[in-house]
Amino acid sequence: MVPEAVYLGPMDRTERAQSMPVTVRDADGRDVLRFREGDESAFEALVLRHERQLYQIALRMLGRREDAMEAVQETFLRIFRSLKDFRGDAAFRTWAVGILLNLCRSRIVSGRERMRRREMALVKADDEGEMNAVDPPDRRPDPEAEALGGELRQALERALGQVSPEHREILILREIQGMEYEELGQALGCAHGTVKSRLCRARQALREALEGVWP
Amino acid sequence: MRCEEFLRVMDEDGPVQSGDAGAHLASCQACRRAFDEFLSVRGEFRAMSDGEAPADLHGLIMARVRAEPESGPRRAGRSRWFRAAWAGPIAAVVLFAALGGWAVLHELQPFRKMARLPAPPVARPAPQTEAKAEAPREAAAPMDRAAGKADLGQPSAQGMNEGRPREAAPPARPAEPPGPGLAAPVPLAGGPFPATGESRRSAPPAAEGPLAQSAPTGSAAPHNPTQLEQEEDAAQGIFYVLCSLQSEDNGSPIVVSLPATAAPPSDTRWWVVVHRNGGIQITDARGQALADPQGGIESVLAPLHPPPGRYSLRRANG
Repeated sequence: MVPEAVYLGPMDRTERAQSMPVTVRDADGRDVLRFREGDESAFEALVLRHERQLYQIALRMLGRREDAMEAVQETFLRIFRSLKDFRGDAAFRTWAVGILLNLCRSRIVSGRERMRRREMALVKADDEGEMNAVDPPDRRPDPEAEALGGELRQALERALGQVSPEHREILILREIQGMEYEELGQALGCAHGTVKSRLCRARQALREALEGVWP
Repeated sequence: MRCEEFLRVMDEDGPVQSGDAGAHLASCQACRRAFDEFLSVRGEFRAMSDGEAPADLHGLIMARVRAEPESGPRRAGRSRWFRAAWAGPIAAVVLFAALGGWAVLHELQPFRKMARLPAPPVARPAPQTEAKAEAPREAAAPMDRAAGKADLGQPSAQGMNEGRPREAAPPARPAEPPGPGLAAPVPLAGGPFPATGESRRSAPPAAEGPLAQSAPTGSAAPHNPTQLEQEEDAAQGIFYVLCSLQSEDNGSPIVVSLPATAAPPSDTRWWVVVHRNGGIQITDARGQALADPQGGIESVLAPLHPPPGRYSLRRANG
């Protein structure tokens, strides 16, 4: 028997968002649904599940512990603000990583701008015969991370800091986080073929940075 | 397979242990070594994911989230309540105001523009008794009846005063400059015009036909100026003819006073074409362009900025 359809009137945006089919493929999906129903503790569960991984990505992308912590906090804040609009087309993790990468890119660009201004200030100060009061930017990896690994690991950390951000992010996601090509495409916003070719170029760039370590 | 090709397949995560790549891997020691090192680097990379997050990170994240003033499900619920409670009345008020404003502006815009025109010099009318002035007004357009002004120097616009209670008609009096209010009478176009002997005082009675209903014809009050008054009027160049400008789409007619030399003859009708660029063209019924007599029509109509279209222009008072 076909159930009788009842028109309940037009839905407002919030109701539409709440009625969006979220793919409950895992615990993340269930927590997203709980959060939409008003259970804010579900959000804390999402934070607990993903904060460590996001921090590791941010740390490798930005190179500094403070910057990584700030980026992760901002990422979860943005997730909190827009979680009601999350449709679940991609996994929550992929969505969160995409947000984090955007933030990291912005920070890298603004950091470059700051560095350029500092260098200009240095040139100007040198021209005027003044003391160089600004320290050059430190691209060394976090000492805590350095202490954890051996020689190869330290070499990899250094090499990651030397390749371009575009190559660095795909290497981090693929090699360190072990994300599949489909997830990479969703997180980076590019097609499967682009992921493949970008990863190939990133490995070649890493090989050049690891000369003597990686053939 | 060559070594370069094998390394490319390896970097693309291709199948290196089967097919051609597998055969090459089994036979090439250099590529075998490269592949082993690739695996060791990958293993080291994977080990890097074991790092922990700082202990205070979780607390910082949750503190920032809780510091959000209105967000998440709470905000959604509140905004839904707000919409339900206020959206309807607010939308109704806004819609009503917008429609009402549009209607008023659309109806009165021509007259507001007219009201900004300078008042022309108007002749001092001759003394007239109230009874004398009342009789012709009975047959005049409603607007003029309400306005109670029979002076041709102060023609009113149709529709402005419709529905108002009828007022006692005051005696004829000298024309006054139009006020800024919406109900101000339509002023005459400024500028002296040569007298041709056709005076408002000698205008024939109200026009007949459909236009006579909407056009102000109360100006047909008979008046017999004295010789001295005629001379005074002629000296000030105040020979005007009331004309009605009716849009082809039957909008409210615009009543203008044209210099007698610029008005169409009483037995004909001209067409005024207002182009999109503001240009004004006078044509006859067949669309043949006519010379604007001394530029009088354009000088009167241009400041009114009538919307583009085709208008019929005819004398409102015969």
